[in-house]
Amino acid sequence: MIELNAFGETCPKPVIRAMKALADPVAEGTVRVLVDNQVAVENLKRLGLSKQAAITVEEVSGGWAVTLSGVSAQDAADQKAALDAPEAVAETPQDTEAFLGVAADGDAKVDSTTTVLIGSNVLGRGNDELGGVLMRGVIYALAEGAEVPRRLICYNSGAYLTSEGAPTLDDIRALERRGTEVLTCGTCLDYLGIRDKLAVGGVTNLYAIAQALMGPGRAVTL
Amino acid sequence: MEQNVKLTKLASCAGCGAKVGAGMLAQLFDGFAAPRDPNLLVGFDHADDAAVYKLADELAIVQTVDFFPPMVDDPYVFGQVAAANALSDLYAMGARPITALNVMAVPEDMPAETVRAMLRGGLDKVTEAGASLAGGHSIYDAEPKYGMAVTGVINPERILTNDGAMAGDVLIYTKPLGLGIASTALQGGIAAPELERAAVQALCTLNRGAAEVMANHHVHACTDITGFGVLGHVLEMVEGAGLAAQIWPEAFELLPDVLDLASLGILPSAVYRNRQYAAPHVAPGDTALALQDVLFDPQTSGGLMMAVDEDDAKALLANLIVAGVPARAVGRMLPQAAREQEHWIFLAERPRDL
Repeated sequence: MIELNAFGETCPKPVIRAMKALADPVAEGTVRVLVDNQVAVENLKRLGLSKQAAITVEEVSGGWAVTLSGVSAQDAADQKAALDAPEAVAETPQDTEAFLGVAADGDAKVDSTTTVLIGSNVLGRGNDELGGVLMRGVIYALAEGAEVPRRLICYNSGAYLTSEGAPTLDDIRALERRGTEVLTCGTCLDYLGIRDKLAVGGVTNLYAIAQALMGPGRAVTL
Repeated sequence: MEQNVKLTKLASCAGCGAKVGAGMLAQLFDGFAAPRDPNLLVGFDHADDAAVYKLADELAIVQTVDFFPPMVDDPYVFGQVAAANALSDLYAMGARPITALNVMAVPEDMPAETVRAMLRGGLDKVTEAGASLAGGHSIYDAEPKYGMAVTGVINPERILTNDGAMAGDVLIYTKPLGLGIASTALQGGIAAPELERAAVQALCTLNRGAAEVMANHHVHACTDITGFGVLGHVLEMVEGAGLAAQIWPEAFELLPDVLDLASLGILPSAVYRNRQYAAPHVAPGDTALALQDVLFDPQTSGGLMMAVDEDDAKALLANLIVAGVPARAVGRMLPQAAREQEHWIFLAERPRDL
């Protein structure tokens, strides 16, 4: 068993500490957490329920002791994996900024003025097989360029480019990592029935597209 | 030098989770004399989103103020969220924002660039709303807080309050749900990147697009879902209109992972406050506890909950979706006779026709 003193801790902290403790083999499936607020007690009870643990709550001086016991080793291991994964990413605070394209200040790699609009999954008219290869190529080139665009907006069949299984996905993700804000037309995703397949960036609307067209920056249509 | 200020580490409570509970507010104001000026069309006696004061037959001003501690670490994002949230009350009433004033408290030692990033976020959203940032007030405080007092204009004939719903109206909601839980997970450092991304996007989205579509439809009542959660705010709508309601929990779009986080107990304290306030009036049916918790989850910068004439519901829904608003039909207003003693809101399965 691991015992945690979480007096003075609010909202997510006690429950997150309890989750981490349960994932520790030393706990052998049991944690006892001392908390001083009812919210923490309720949150811990829910954690216990979801882990099919035996839950006991006792009043102690200054608060409560919540004991969760009998959590299976497998459950605890799953927990550990789930907890470890996002934290590794969370350690790079630039990610959020990059996603939002707000790191523009002092980040010379983002061309802060250009919006690239992509209204098709192929580049140019004529042979679509060739067009698909060309589109993949031009997005690769954009992602490898010295400067990346401020924003990339996909609409109509361009929405396929940001969806699951698209050959362009890796390069668009690379653009996003480098600071490009990637957006796909929500109407188009709905019309094409692929909203749940969106694999990179956010969803936008025609209003935002019109703003990009009329805004102070440069808009380039592929 | 100090670039990595983690804003949420400075906050004890995430976003709208910091809101004083609805039950407590009612107690605090109980027995106070209501203002008598007949031009005050909507005042605090209404538990509505904003105050409305008539200046002339076709012109009223709408005022509201909102501020809170950070629920995200990035100051620019926080600024945007705070502004979108403050402006939301105007959109919920059908008003057009014209001016905004900053309300800000920051620690004395917060780096200037962090404060500037926050203010820039606010300014950018005010600009996107087509309004002007006209000033503000700032104080020092160990826990940062930011928000805005905003003013809008409206034709008094076209005010949308939260109490005008009619029996049979369909309830339509315009954002993914679970923003309070997402903020709590972010604060705890356990939010997956997809959740963070989806939450930040929803938090920063103005309700402008939804409000503009709404103006062309037969919407009888509207409110923005914020600190009291879906069930707290729907309870206000139901109570104000003297009706009952059915809510379809499975019909809401949820942010990624939110249901799992709720079942693990990653819940902001306001979930329990909201539950305490609204639960006596809610018949939960066989809705799972985690999904109930999501319906009590406080939403910072939440979406609009519209009560629309049932004959117009499908058209409104279609037009919202065409405008890029992730709208869903999530419930229906029922006649008062549907109330069963204290139970006014019934959680139920969505009917097949919507």
